[in-house]
Amino acid sequence: MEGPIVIIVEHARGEIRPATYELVTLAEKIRQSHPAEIGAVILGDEIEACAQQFSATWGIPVTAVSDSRLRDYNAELYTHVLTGILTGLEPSFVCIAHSSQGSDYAPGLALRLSAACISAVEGLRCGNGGIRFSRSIYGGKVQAELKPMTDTTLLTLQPGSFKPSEPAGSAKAAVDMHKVVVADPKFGSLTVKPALSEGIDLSEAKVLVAAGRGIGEEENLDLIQRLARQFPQSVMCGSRPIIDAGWMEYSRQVGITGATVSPALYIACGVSGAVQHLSGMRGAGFVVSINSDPGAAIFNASDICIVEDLAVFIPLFIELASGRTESP
Amino acid sequence: MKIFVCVKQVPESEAPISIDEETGWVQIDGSPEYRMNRFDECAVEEAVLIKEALPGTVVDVITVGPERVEAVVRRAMGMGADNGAHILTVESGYVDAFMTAGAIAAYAKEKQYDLILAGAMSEDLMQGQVGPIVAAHLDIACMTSTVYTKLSADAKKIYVEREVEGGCREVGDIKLPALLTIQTGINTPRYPALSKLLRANNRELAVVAADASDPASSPQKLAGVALPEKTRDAVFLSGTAAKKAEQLLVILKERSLIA
Repeated sequence: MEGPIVIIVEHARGEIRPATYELVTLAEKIRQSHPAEIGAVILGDEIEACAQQFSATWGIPVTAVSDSRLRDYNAELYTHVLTGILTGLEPSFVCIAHSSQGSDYAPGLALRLSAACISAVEGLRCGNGGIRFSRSIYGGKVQAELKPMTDTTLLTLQPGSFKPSEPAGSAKAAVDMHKVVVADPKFGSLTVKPALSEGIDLSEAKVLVAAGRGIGEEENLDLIQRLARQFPQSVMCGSRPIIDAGWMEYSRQVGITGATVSPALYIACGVSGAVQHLSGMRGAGFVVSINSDPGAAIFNASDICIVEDLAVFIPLFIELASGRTESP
Repeated sequence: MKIFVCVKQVPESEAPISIDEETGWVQIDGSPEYRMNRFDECAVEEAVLIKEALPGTVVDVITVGPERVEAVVRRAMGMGADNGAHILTVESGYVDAFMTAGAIAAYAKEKQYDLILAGAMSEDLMQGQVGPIVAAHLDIACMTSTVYTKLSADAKKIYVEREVEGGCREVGDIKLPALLTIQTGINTPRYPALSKLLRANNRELAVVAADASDPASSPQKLAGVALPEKTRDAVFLSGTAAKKAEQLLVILKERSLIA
């Protein structure tokens, strides 16, 4: 029997985040080719109830570390505590969410554990060559498969890659409350500053017209806005580069660090289609993409693909849709 | 104050790419054009902003790769960095972040940097690993996805804001030395000044030959590359732009997505 497959439960002060349930799916998939026990680790403050609930729901034994200094995420303390716990568990695989937390501590933790670290995993495949994990490279234009060469492998799972697992009503599993001495952080600690709640709510829109880096100039936003006006209940949104450039407010950002949307129609204009953006728009009903780069990754995630210059195509479409010539 | 910035050269993102069956790696078609990774441009800019605010600050820049990559070090010097270093490797396909980070950390180890900056990820490999692994090697604080920094008056601490889910930020003071990985949007990188760029072109870089790196010691290996699978129909419309616009309108009307 190989070392266990360990899930690191991600939560916000005891409230388990949905990304954790995708990690359960990942662990189950690994187990199909790699028979081993599945376990979970949870760090937090007064975390026992949360650990009990998780183990009872999933039938997965949980190792929990409870300390007031673990109330919120802290990279230094997480790395320190997890190094100790995981060294003891000798896992074959550690499943971590590719979230702002997981992507923060996993690479450094891997070095300390002499483990492999495969980041932003989107899939896995088992064959003659053993188990391989796939992830996007080159802005999603290519998928690379990586193969771990070590006894322990840390995997960070790109959110939205797998269906969250459903509890199977398994037998109750044990919770091991672990005693670990947690020192005050040497390097300092951060607190959470909430998001500004003002702004536009993209979740209500029936049609979203998104602008990406490919629009080139800020002036071209006008074109996107005019396209959006052709549709009822439509809203203009953008991918990260547009928000970074200050051309649109943050509340209009679609993607992993912005909003997750599911409109009936999503029109991506000059959006390259990096996995961080695709994660936010997977739920769209119908996707139309317009991009001058025929190799843009967005086309793989589109129903209709149009390789054209936006400045040429959009005015033509508006003219047809509105039944009149657009004034420039 | 000594600042160290890790930069990487990446292919132009619109470059047509395919898979080279012989090498089993990505091939940039045509005459490849390269530039500095956008996240790293923001890291260089942040370092230069700190230097401008705190006289006496020295900014060193390092990159890892074959000969062509030294262009990004010179560009960083054109933006205002003082010294450049280049860990020279042979041109190769997939480069493990553990190898790159190990080489950078070995270079930085005795140099007592107060602050190390790196991009949050590279646009080509998109792993976001080099920065955190360098910090782990050096056993210093590490903060990823930084979107705001402010150095304390005594230059012993740095106030940082890092991006987390849902538009929230984690904020607080971190003791130096520390490594921060920088997100885009933190600043607007300047264009290199021509005079600085010319001066940089005449400067010698510290060139370090990478250890004859032993791929066997790499914790993970590339098993292959493939073009991504389509997750939707991906029907390409054909004809002139006007024809495509007509077709699109018909398709959207059929689906009652437009009046």
